[in-house]
Amino acid sequence: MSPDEPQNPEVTAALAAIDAVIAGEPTDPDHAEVAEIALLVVAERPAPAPEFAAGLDGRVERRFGRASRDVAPAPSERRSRGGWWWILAPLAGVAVGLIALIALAPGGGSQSSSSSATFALKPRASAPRSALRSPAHAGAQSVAPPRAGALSVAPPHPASRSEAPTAAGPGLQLPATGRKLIQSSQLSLGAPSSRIDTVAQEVFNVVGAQNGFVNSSTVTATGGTGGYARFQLTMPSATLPQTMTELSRLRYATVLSRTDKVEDVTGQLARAKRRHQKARVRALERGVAYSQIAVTIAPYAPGPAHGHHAHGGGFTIGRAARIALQVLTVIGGILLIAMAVLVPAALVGLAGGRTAGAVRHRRRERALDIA
Amino acid sequence: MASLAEPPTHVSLSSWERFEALYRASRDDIYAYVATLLRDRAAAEDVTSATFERAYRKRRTFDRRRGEERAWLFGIARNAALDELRRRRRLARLATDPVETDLVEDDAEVALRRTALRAALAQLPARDRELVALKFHAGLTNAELAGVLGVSESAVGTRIHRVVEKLRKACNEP
Repeated sequence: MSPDEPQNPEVTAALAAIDAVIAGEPTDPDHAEVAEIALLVVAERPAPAPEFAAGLDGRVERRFGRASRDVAPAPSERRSRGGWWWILAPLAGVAVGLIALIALAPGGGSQSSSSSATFALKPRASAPRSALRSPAHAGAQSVAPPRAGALSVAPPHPASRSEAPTAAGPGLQLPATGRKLIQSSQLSLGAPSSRIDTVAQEVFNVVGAQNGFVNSSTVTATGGTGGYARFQLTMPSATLPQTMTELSRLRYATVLSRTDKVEDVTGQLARAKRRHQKARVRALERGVAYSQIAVTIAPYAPGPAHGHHAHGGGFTIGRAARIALQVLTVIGGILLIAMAVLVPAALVGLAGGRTAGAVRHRRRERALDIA
Repeated sequence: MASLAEPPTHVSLSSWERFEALYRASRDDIYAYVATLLRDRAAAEDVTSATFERAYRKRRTFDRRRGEERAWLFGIARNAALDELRRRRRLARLATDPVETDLVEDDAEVALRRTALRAALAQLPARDRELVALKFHAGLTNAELAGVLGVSESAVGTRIHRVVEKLRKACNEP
């Protein structure tokens, strides 16, 4: 019979007789022999030595003040003494370390970095001119997010160099190596809608001052948001850096993007000369002597956050709410990262603890079997 | 979670008082159980001490929903005793003094049966010996036994009956 099967009446009666005789009650005469065995077994009960009992009583009285060192505490006891900190403390340390690494790593604080870059990338037309000229501003543009006016880099071209210089800086400073270079630039400016025509006029003024000429131009000044201007300029290559610098410093205008392209045609020119391709030679020489500049002017309205900066960064509820939201977002991110580390680690620890407990239990039971 | 420190039904007793009462009621039972299982008086004393020390330290982790205090205490004793068995990996003879008994040795036949019983007890496997220790020497009820051993009360009853039958047959053998 399996131990878990219901007991038959005979077994039940025998157990009742055993319990009765242990309790000192009369038993069924039919189970007198079983009861006698039970009594004999009870009589074999070992009793503690009086000196041991007295010693243990004393220790209990002292509340185990001096714990015995000869009996090592069980692992579960060690856990209960220190809670689960023996698992969680190292994990928490690892999590804090990871968070610190992420926070301190270059680019780790991407949000604040982006923000500062955005501010630098969106100079207002009313901002001090020095801000547009400063190298710091030029440097900030190189890390600008696209929507904030990142430099549009020209696609790679065979035998050509395409570079993305700073938008507001002096542009490429090419070494005087005697190479024949064809240079071209694209400049995208932003200006308040009401200033589109003014900025367009300034572009004309710069072109005239630098002895260039306008190949084509389109200026649409509506006074509203639909204003737009586009220029295709040809400038003497010698004056290109100066021209780009002045175009980048126009009043009311903000540089949104700038692309400078340089193509080395020294080899092409030499080949054309060897082959006596005069038209080709002339075209290349003209390309070297004059540079093409494409300028676009689009309506541009600085964001409200920048407006606050323009007025010294005063406190507003909206700004405070935005900052609070950013802080909460960062905190949430940190918590998320911490949970991403701690939760799996805790689960692994829990599973490991349970496995260890099961193994310990099995070993104990096995010890009983062996004994 | 109810603990020895905050028993829901004995709010008037402090943690220490609860432990002390448990100790007074269970000291000899724990010793008897451990001594029968280990068959080594010195080891039984060590394990009994360790049991109460661990119980004292863990008294706040006691969860009444998982059983009575006495079963909880015997669970600790059982773990300590099995750890001792694992450590020793040997069967030590219980160097007991002649068992003190309340029965009067006025019958030669009883004396013979007692001798036969001792021999039968010594031949029992450890699991059966543990059952005898818990039931007859520690005085646990079948329900408490089931809690300590992690089996059903019905299974406990069946096993006890088998062991007693085994002992009875051993005592009746010529």
